[in-house]
Amino acid sequence: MVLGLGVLIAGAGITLAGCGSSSSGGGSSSGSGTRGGTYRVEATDFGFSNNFDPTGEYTTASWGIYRGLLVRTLVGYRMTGGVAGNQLMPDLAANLPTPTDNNQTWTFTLKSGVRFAPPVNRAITSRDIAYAFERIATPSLAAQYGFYYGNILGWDAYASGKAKTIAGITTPNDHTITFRLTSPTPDFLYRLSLPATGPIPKEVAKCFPNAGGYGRDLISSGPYMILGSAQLKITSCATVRPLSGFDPSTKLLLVRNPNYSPSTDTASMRTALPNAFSFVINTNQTDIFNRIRAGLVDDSMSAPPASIVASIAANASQKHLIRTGAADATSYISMNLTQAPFDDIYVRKAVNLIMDKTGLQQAAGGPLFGAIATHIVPNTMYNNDSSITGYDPYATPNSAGNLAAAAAQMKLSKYDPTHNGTCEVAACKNVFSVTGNTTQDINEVPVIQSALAKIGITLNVRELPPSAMIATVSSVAKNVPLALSQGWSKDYADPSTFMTLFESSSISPTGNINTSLVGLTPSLASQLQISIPKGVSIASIDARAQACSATAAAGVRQACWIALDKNLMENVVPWVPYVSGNNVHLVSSAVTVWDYDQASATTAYSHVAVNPSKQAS
Amino acid sequence: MVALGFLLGLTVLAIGAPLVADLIGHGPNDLYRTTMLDQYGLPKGPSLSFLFGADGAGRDLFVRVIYGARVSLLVGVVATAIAVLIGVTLGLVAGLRGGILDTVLSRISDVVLAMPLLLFAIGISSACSTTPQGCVKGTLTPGLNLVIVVIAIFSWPAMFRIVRATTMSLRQSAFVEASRAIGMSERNIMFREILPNLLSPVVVYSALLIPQSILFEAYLTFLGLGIPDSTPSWGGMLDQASQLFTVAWWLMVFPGVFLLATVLAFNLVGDGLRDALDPRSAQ
Repeated sequence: MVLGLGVLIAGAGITLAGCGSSSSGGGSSSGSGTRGGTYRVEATDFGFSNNFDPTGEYTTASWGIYRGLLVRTLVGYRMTGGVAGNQLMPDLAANLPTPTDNNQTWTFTLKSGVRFAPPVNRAITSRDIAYAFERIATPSLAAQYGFYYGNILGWDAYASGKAKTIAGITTPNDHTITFRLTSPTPDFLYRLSLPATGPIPKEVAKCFPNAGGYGRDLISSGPYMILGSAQLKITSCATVRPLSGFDPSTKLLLVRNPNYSPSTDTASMRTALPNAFSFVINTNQTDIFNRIRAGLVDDSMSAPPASIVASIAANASQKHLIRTGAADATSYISMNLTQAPFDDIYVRKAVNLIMDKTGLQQAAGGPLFGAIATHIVPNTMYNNDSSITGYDPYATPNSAGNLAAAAAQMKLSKYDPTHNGTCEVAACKNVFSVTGNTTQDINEVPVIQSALAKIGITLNVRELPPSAMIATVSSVAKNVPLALSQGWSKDYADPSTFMTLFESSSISPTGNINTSLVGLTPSLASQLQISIPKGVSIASIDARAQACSATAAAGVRQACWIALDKNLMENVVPWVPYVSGNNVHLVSSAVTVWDYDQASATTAYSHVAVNPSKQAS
Repeated sequence: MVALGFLLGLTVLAIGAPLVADLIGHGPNDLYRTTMLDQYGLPKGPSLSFLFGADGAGRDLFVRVIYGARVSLLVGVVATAIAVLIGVTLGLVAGLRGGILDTVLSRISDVVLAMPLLLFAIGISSACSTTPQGCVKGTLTPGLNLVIVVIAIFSWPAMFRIVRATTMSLRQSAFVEASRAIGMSERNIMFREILPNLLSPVVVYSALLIPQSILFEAYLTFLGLGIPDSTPSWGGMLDQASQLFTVAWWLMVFPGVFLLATVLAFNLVGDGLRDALDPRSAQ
């Protein structure tokens, strides 16, 4: 998985699973859980990107564990599904502050009584949060979303070693921390909800000067801690050994943190009912779900395949075991605005109109696994605003494509010289396209090929392993005309985390996330050693995106992003968005409480409970 | 004879695949998702109009299986032909000339045999997949051609060794010595005296190499390194089946049975040829 500003999904089929509205389950589960038991989770692979060190960890699976169980941040979420789950709440902070200086100065007061888990045991101070930021700014620790904090005053000076502290972060006392920014950043609270900003005790973390090391000895600030924490000796770095409860290749075992005080927390964020959590690697995916059905395991970190979901959904006594939640992710086809025939907006509109989105949804596992997407940013991230929920500029019957409407657009393009509604020129034949080689990705190919053939576009599709697919698509030099089965999910619930995909500043030679090259200028193209076809003018949304980013008033800001989303869909047309993905979970019958963590797009581990008497062993 | 009959029938079916598809009215890439996929996108099983059921994309599996025979036979025959051509030519030269040339060619074949086959295939496939041009200036692009080249590269050394060893034995024989004594050129000795005597082992080994090539293509495609999905191949079908066989047995059974029967038939034909051409077997 390539990790960018958002999380670029390697083949939409890999991560996008599950659907919000479900006939057999739902986004959240109420229920009266009781304390006790162990919540048992299995995964084919943890997939941790930085050995579970919060500074560099950039996977939704790890974020779910951090937020619910181990790492508290100044600002958090309600830990539930839907729009409510994207609403910010104070966590370590006593209140959500009101920024001053045009959203450039943010001062927080910390709650009292929050302590680190053993063996540190002491109260968490503002200095521990400042230290977390210093780690993010330390290049050797490989923070993967440090760009969110680059406008903190003095950031670059600290990162380059020219300063001993970050000038823009001050801690006048143990309970106060102030951030001074160099530019207005109305979404700064969201950025403070990311787990890398959680407090880190220097007395332990200083022992790990390299990326990922601290993950083996993470000191919890949440309701649980890694097994073995109490036995850890931190008198010197020489005595610090990996905690017994964590081995990245086999297990992560959590027990209660005796220093956690529920009075410093809220039930809407964490109820912390199970006594323990076990996350165990089981490389056999089918076995995981068989074990869940048998009551031997309670949950999985990966989505069940459609074949298993279908068999469970067909069983009236088991269908309640399927739980779903919106992933705040969009699956899309990316069209390169510099490559024929997609350098013509009428062709791009025709592609949107001919696409069989229902077929693509079916290839993804059907409606349970995602709703049809009609624009860029998932509706949940617009708080289901009525001005966008019904918006579909390329509506077709049953979302299965409309040949007449597509042909009408194609007739207007330069690639249909005979104006017969199909592209007959060479530029439309054998168009180089890239996709993943997962089953879902491959199943999507014939749907796309079949649809495009109707307007005269044929594809030369390369099916690549996910990592190779991402490397190819994100290489500007490769200049892939059509990238199939792409996916993007949020880092936090602000549309800016999607819109950055279309800003010219996101275009880079490798690791490029602006795969449509929206906003590419002749000078930038020259730097990248690519060319813009003669007569083609590439639209830019830079100014509008920056204006939206700088807008603080929530309602106005949201309206600004919605207008930009519509502008992209109608006047730029870089994508064919087709599925707003959901996550599907299969839980055991021993699970009595289960909720969905909308912010992390996974199980809300802080809101689950099990009945041990129903757990098989 | 049964095996030969099966292969002949399969060849006819493969050649006539477009006619069969026309007759049924289902192309190999035609989608029937509304009728042959359920709400979860899972395929429906065999019926009168879809004899082998549908695959994961809602395509007619029967039509794709008979189209898949084309790929298997083509890969098997062409890759084997290339491997035989290389192996026989180099084996003849090495066996007849001996000396440094023999040593060099033998070591090259040893190197090829020592190469990690799958890693090499993955490397070539990856390197040639990320640009429209493929690699080697467009000579190698992912798909059928690349698979055939990879299989041929790894198949010729075995043929080379057989031919080289047989040639070395033959060049010491009385009839070759006699030819030399009467002044026959080395070239004529190679083509008129030795090559005809190599026919038996070459034919027999070729017949056994074909099923190996077919299986190798299936392996590569199963791993996502071979034929793209738009070209039906049994390996690709089995790859899809591995994800869905618990709910769609037909995805594994039909291509699997065809692959099994084809490989078995080629092996039986190879055994038969060996028995027929090897005088010791007759005794």
